[in-house]
Amino acid sequence: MSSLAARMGDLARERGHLAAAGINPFGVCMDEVTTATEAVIGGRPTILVGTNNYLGLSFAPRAIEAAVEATRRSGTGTTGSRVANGTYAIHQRLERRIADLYERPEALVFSTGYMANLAVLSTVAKPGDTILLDADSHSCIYDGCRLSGATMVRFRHNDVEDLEKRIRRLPKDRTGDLVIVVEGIYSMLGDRAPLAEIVEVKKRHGATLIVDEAHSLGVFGAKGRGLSEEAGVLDEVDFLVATFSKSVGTIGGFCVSNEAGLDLLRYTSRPYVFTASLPPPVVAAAIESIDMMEKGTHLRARLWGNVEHLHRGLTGLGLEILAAESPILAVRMPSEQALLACWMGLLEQGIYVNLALPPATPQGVYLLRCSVCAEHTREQLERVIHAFSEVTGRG
Amino acid sequence: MTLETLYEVIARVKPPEKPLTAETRFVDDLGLDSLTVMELVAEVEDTFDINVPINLLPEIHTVGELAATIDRLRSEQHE
Repeated sequence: MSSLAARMGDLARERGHLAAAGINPFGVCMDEVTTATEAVIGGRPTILVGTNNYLGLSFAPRAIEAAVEATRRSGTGTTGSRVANGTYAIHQRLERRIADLYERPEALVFSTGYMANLAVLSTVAKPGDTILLDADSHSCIYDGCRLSGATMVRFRHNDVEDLEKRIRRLPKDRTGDLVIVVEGIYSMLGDRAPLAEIVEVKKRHGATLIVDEAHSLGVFGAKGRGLSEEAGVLDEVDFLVATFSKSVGTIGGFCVSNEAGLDLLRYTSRPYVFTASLPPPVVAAAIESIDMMEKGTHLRARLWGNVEHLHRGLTGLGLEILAAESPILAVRMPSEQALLACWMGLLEQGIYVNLALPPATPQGVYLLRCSVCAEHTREQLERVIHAFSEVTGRG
Repeated sequence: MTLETLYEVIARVKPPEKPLTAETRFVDDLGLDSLTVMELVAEVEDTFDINVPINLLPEIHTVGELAATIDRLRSEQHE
């Protein structure tokens, strides 16, 4: 058997090339994270503008206290699956809290958002069904669809007409079900799904609609329930999946549904059954953070004020931002070389943003991906804008 | 017929260095990466008015295999 490095020759060469230039964008180590918006990286105090921590709840005192208390009371981990020794009262309390938030009979909690999608997609769709998925869907959606054994048909990103066209092309003698999968906000470009129109397509064709609100939970809607709430289509979403690892500030995932039988996933879904359940401190923090999120109108107001401020500042420098619809501001760079140089330059100025390039982005799209936090101060955002003007030579 | 049209579609997405044949391999001969493959698939879908389910892609290595798949999908989806 050949070595890993030999089998992944192209990747090894590419990594070597970047390493020789002193750049390892995917190997950044946070020496210390001190607040929701600050860290020390390579010994340098750094403003974090690439964490998906939209509401800044990872440092909320209430959540920290609850996590500490839960650890003292119940230990650091459950050491078992939800179907064995890993269901504690606190897991059921979290599920009840989420079910109440969405006014649904039941909610299921998973150990990560990734596994929530694997679990739901692989169980909801079956061989013989057809899944229509947005081409820009996250990897866990692709992987979940693959696990289902259903036929996977991609439609062009956010293109409802293309979705319709693909449904029209399906074999006339098709017998399986139709499943449509979209996200609320797409993580790389930061644009929103046209949910109301997608719901119309779903209704017209009797399809099941799954919406992944990973990046839109906490950000949209009066109660922060996501783009489905904001678009007024919560009742039309058959399965809503989301994660605790962004706005909720911890880790884990969940699914709520109108369909009877969601509970059966607890027995049939491998990503639910064959992994350990969330540790008590994580669950305790999630319960507190979901409460703060639901009542977080002030947090959302601060977040959107910050989004507007940063957007104005960056476009004022003449930079191109791909979508102005979410707390993800993807700043487009003309080339890979410019992207790497600017990303390094920002880091040297104490600003951390995400670097996004193909295949995570469409071909030829190079992005400095910023995610805004409710806890960013205006002074921090001004420093970010200033650093952008320095590294891009604008302003 | 399918093959001739397919040659044109491929040439639009990535102009080949050598003339295309049914035996031309997408990765080894044309050097297509995963993103270009998806772009090619989208072009094929629109040109032939078919859906190419992405589950089929791992089985398709050559231009000839793609042409055969297109013919099969057209008969399935247009009957």
